Amino acid sequence: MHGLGRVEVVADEPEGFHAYVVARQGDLLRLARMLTADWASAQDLVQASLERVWPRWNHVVRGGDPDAYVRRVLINLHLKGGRRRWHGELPFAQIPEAISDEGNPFEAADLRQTVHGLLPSLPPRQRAVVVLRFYADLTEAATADLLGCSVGTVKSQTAKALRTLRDECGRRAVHP
Amino acid sequence: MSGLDDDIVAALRESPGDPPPVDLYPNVVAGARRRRRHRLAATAVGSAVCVVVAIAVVPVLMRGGGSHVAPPAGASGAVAPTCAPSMESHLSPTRTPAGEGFVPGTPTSAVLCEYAAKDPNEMATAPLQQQVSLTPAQLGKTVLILHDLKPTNEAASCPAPVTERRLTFGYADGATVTLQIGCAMVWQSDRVHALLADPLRAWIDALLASVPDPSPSPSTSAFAPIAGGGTVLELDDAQHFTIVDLATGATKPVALPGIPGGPSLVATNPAGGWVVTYTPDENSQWNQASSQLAVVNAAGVWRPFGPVYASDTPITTLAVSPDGTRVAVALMQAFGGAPPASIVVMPTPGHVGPTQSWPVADDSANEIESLSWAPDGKRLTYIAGFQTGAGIGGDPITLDTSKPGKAPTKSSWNASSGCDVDGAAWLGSSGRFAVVRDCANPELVEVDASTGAPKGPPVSLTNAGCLGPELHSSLDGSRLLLARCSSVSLVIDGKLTSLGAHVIDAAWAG
Repeated sequence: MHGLGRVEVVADEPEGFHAYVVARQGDLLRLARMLTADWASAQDLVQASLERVWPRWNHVVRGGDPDAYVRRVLINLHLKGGRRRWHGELPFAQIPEAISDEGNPFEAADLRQTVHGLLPSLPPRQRAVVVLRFYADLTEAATADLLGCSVGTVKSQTAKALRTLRDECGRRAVHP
Repeated sequence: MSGLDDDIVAALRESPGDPPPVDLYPNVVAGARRRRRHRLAATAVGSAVCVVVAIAVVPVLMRGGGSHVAPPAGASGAVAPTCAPSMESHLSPTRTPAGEGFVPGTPTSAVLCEYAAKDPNEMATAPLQQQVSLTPAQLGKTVLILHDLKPTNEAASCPAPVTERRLTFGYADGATVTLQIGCAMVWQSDRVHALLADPLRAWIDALLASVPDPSPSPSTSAFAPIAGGGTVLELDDAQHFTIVDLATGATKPVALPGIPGGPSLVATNPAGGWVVTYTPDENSQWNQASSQLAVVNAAGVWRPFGPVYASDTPITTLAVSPDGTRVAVALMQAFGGAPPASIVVMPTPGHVGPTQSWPVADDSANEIESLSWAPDGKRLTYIAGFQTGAGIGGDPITLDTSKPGKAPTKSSWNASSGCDVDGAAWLGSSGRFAVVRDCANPELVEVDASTGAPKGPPVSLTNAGCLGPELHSSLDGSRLLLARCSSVSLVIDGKLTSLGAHVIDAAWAG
């Protein structure tokens, strides 16, 4: 009923929306930053998510958990964008090397920077799983619900992502 | 978990740092207003209807998914629950553990709602397909079956798209309880769920089967007479064919009693009639169905031809060559390990010629959509990508069937302009090309096929997030049928006219 194509007749300035954006944009940007390659992409993702929330803000608030709703929209957009960008390169493109705005992650001494720098090289779904599980600190069940998959899929995607990160970290010998 | 894994997880738990100082609010509001302006004109009527429905239904969906929901203030007495006209996954109710089993208390009524298959991550809504209000006897049996379900911690997954079913019980005090019934699980709340047992599955299937088939197609026209007339073949979501006269709006069903399960895709045969795909094994599941081609005429006479493609390589799109002598189909790689996706060109019945196949590398795409013949009858254009349940998109690719050893080439011009191209087609013999772009707002754009230069302003489309548009041009390219979002529209000179809803594909009939 609430597809993107539908327009709701709401007040031009939904009550409480501005305050919500001001209060939460920092956390949303950090979550988006973990999902994307740089802060600019994170801003785009958060802005696009909030644009979609804006017209139905009153319903979202009545649902009682606007954070969960916004997070779901953000994750959906991230996954859709990731898939579409990926497919947009097909079938002749080469998969690019990971790009980070924090310098070359493989030369970084700091494991946090290295791991965060490696995140964009993970497939979008694996990236979403580890970010939701560990950064957003969601349970496996909540992550599965948000991603629309089973808990088993969350576990397997987490394992694959960690294996990739472990292999890359080990290969680059950045672990102390 | 190794020590390194622990360190990695610890690193993942750390904040990426402080974002650059920025106030997103002005941009968010500006973007949201822009989106709203684009949609208001096209959806004003639909919006009014939806808002009314939202007022009636959202309280149930948002608050009633699984827990015993108190009646709204001022409500009194039992009101039989009804189905929302559509459902979207990201509005799943926030549920709290009920702890009272799947059907607490004694419900007085129930309604079973079945929504169209959709990807759980897809933003587009899933429309209501069937609704069954249970009789008292059916209600009693349903409750008995559900009482035998035991909560479990086991989980199960299903391939997308998933047909969603919701069973809502009404109570004497006006409260409701909603169960979500997936392909493998029954959810009463986020923590109370069970594996879907066979007796419940069979019972739900029987309830839905008790509903009579929907009417094949609207019997009256909802559009004004279209200059120049012509006829269009519509394939509705019950897999029935109807011929629609564009001048009068009159409709005429095309009976195809022999095709098991009805046709799935249709393409105009310029030499007369149509070529369709269908499933020879009628009783197979949607994801286990084989597919075959058949020629069909307006009298309902049909004849299968070509090989039967197994469920691991289903047909996803087809197009008949401009001279009607060949048909091109695209086969999907349904899962890893299945034969790779490919394009196959074969002669139509009554014609001779080689059957040629062009496989696509496994690591480049598993699905091909929007097959379309160029006016020269040699080149085929298509879109390729990996299907994850959310559709595929990308710049059109062209295959020259007259040069078997030549690799396909992407269009040299950027059809997408930074957006996703979801569908594309040659516009008959005109030398123009049409693409459906999923930008901030979806739009249909006509371009020069050799230069990519736009021909006229884009046509704004409603309903973002729809999957797999089908485009069918008239022979001269002056008219375009656009099947999208379960409806079909006619595009003439940049003007879009809706021809009907509940339509999954369409073709020219004359």
